[in-house]
Amino acid sequence: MDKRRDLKIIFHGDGIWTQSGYAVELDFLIRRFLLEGFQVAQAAKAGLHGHWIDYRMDEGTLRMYPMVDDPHGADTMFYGARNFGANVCISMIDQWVIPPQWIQNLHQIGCKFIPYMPVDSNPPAPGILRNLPLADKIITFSKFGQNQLKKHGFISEMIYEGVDVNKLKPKDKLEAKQKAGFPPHLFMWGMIAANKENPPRKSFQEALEAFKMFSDVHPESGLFIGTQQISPGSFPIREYAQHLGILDKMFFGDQLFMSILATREDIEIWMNAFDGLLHPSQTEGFGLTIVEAQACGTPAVVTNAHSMPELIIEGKTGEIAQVANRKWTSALSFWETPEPKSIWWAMEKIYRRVKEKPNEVLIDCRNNVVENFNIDTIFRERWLPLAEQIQDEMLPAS
Amino acid sequence: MEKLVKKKPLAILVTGIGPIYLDYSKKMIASLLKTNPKIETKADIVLMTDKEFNEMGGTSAEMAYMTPWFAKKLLQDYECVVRIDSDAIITGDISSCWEGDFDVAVVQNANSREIQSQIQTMNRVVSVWDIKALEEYVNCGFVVMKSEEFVDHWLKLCTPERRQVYQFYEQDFLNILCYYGNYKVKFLDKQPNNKWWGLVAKGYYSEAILKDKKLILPKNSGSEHDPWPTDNDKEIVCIHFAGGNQPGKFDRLDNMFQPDVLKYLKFLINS
Repeated sequence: MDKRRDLKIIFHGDGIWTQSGYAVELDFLIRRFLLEGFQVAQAAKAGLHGHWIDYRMDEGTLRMYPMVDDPHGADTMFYGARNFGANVCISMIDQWVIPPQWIQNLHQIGCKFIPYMPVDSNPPAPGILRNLPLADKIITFSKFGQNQLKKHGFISEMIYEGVDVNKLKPKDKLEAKQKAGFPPHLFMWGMIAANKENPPRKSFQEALEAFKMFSDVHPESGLFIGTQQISPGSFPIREYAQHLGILDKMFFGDQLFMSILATREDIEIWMNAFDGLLHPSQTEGFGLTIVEAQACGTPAVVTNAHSMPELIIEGKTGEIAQVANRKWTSALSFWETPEPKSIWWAMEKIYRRVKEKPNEVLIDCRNNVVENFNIDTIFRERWLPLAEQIQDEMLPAS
Repeated sequence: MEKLVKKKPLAILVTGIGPIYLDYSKKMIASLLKTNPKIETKADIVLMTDKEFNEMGGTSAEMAYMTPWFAKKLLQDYECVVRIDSDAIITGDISSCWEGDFDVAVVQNANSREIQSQIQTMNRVVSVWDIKALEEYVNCGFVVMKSEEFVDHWLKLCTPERRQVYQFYEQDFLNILCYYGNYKVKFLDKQPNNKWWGLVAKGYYSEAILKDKKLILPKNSGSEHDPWPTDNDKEIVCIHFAGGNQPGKFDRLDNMFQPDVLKYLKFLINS
């Protein structure tokens, strides 16, 4: 290879096989940087314990460091960077979890710190701004985030998260429904989301209420909910569905399967099996499933808040539910609770469009992702030039 | 006995003590000369480095109150001394700062966003006595002095014993004299010319724009929760980084300024 590849990069975040949204994105980036010939390591916030490993993949070998003491791997970020001799650390995590001294430690060993970070509230929670004066460069996921940071004193680059459009693409819907175990005649809505608190950030209550209204009008419909992350005190989805009298229309992913066994192939099946995705979240730094659904030709319902509206083309690839009220949280920012009737109305509009023009919807959804969220394009046009620029600044050619 | 030699009109006092601040001071002076091209016809730019400090008998004690200490000496030869911290970039015409009849001219230390930052990082706000942190407390990074009496008084307050009591020391005493001394004080950021002179704009630089070769912070920059400034557009004539004795204050400008402003600032600080 004739291109100079002296830069050593350590990525900080969820271990690449852990299947969280961040893990998926880090996996995309790490494999592509390896393929380009860069030396890459990961400080794995989750997914690895006890000892470092050299993880061999088709694209190259990834040095991975396990968590040490800090629950979010901030110490691993430093120890890993030091051991690996990293020039730059790219941290894809909520920035409020990183104690600033670990960033200062990185600087002490000459390693630059670049957060690739979500901004998921208006105003941004103070905690996420705390570390930014220490950042050598700031990268956000969304125009919303970039704009919020600008209003709060920080200039950032915006690089969307992306999906692999060659692996995640439209398939035969009936076949996908069959694989997912959905009756083929049902108009299927789907939610794949974390359920870690109550009230739930992902608006399970509002989504269920909206689906109740929808299914009253369209009895031949179903709702699948898969929660890959759960915590004690999470929203009791089944019980609320029973309370609303819609439990017989609900489909649930097996919790063990959803939490630790599901793969990218399963995501592709579900996203193809859904007729519409429900993603009326109350706070969102990006919303990867919105893009994953569209990659498979499936439109999405989102909330009129944060990054979500910019991921769809309203009236073509999705619909926007309006916010009913704003809740001030202990993170010192707002959650934007969507109006169930507005979610329902958005579902109705998608239902009509899918029924009337299924191919047009599929093509619009697919084109939106191929044009704006294709990870190969994003990597080639944004990440690679950025890495080469940092390399030229830090390690000029002799 | 009356001094026979007529004083020179103006000195710009810059300190570059230690290699880091010497580097800062060179950048600051470069920006001063580019934005005020005729300043050397009006003023002497006096750079005090370790060499001058040592030759003048400075010790570690005087390090803590260099502004009045150097100013005392310069006011023997100059009518007016403008002290500008070296961790600053001059971005506009500063000639209005020495105009008018006053003993001392000072700049604001904070805005509401900076106050929040102080609470987060220090669990307190920077102030002294009952001087209001937001509206009143002034910063020591840009001070214009015309009165020897004022500087003598300031120096008199800077005793080793008081250092244990007043965390911000010379800056605290500057504030006490401005609000409780019997002196004519000019508050530079509150003049009708709509110029801002330093920390009053801190935290809002990301929305500064270049307009007719001036650095402007438009009215109601910031978010809907903390818009600033609220009355008029402001011309930023000085960007003061402040924040204590740290290296690399000029290293992360691209996280703070829009690209065209960044390019302009890099042009200004390059010698």
